[in-house]
Amino acid sequence: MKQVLLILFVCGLLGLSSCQQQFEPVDYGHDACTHCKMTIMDKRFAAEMVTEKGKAYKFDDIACLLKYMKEKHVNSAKAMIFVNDYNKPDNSFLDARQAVYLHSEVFKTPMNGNFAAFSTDREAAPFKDRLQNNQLKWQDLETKPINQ
Amino acid sequence: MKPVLLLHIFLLYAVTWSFATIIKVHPAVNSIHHAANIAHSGDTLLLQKGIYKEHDIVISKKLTITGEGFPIIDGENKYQVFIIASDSVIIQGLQIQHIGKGSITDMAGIKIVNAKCVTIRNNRLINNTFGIYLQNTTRCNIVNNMIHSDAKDEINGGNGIHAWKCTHLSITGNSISGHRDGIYFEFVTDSYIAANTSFDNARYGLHFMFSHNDTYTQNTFKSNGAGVAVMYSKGVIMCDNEFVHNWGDASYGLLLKEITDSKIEHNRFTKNTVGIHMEGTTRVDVRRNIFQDNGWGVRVQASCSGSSFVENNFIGNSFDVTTNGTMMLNTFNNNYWDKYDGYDLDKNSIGDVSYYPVSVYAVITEKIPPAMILYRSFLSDIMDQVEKVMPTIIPDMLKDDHPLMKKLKL
Repeated sequence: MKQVLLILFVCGLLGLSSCQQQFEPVDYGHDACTHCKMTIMDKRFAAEMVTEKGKAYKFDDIACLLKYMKEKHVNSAKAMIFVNDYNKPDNSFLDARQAVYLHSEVFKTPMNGNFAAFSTDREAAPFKDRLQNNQLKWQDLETKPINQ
Repeated sequence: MKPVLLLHIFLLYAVTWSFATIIKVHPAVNSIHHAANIAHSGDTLLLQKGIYKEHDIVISKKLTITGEGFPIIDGENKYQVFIIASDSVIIQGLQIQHIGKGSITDMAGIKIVNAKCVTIRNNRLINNTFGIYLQNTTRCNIVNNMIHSDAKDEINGGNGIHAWKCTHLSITGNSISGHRDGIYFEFVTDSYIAANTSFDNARYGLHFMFSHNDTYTQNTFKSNGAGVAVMYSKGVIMCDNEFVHNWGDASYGLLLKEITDSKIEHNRFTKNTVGIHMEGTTRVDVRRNIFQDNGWGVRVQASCSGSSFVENNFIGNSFDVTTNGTMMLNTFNNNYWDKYDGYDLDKNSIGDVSYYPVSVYAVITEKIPPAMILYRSFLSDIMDQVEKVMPTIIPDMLKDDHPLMKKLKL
């Protein structure tokens, strides 16, 4: 009986640690970007992709994420994709498909991708007016050629 | 004789005409601002000892600003201090401290914007977000400065020396610690970095991005979070540097990514997790370096090509070389490997059998990192011995046909 309980217990533990598709926090200053190998430091531009099987890939620049997905032919429909909110850098990640983006050299992102993500049109508005450029959506990013 | 005499007279007058004045500045409200306003081009501001609480001092004339006994200019954790927007400015002997943090602007102790031939020497920059910030500058000299930050929140910190879109810089003899990256180069070309010490920085001691034809030599990079990274650059010359004790999960003595036509000569890589990590490099010459007591001496990814490793010493590394594929388009020749156990019958001090520097366990841990837990176990020893007799797993293209019997004197 004891052994059966033990087996059940172990199975339970395995079950807990199994592959759920969920966001994994970025450990700034320790985690390295999957694509460019740089240590992720700048909270404003971090991004993450969680695959169908629950493996999390972290990136230091939205351009790194896009490039990685293109190179590895990631099926983006099934992956969860997160981008950091430029205005709220303290670990407040947005669903990449809901976010709005601006592209400008003034952001000086770690890998020179120069994309910044915002939660709503209103959040992006002050920057948009100043930079006078177009607001982008996730679909635009996926099709846009990346200059890196 | 006559032209010489004329020249003398001309020079004599030239000196008297351009005789610059020295303006003494004492600590008071806005005293540096005031002095900088009344000064003429070519004048010297002599700052007396004391604490100056001034900020956003824009220098738009050719001035020399000299400190006597290290006067302190304090940014009160809110502001930035010097913004240099004129050519040929000299700043020396100051202590600049407590620069603030901006979310949009990068605040720095000394910021040089669109200027030429500026010299910053013998200053102390303490607890600043960015120490010295160069933007769109040419021929600037950054010499013998001490740049240090105690910032606990290193992640949000800035870089010690930050250069963006510059050419012909000379950065020598500085000591940089406690910043995000010690020296950061982005779009900087034809520059020279020598004899600096960069240690205890949160990320990289030196960080190159898209910076071509630069040389760095005789620098020491020690105990940085992730070592040194040279990325997406062409024609970089790295010689006589020391990479010491860059230890950690994602740490490298030297991380090379997408580097073309570069030279790595006469450096010393000691006690790093990975001595050199190469990814996507083309034609990189690695010659006469010492790799000692590293976890991995060299990690060459299969995406590298045309690189050569010649006359290096590999001593006491857990793994000398590792790679992630079977293809090897790089060559190893005339290196000394302390793990080589071949023989030299013709006594020409070159081993008669080839050395395969990738051990079987290096291949396994490359594919399955947690297998490291069994390293140096009985099992892994057996595998190593079997592999030596019948190579099946190790990439047989990666070998040194002329391994040296004796250590090179470097």
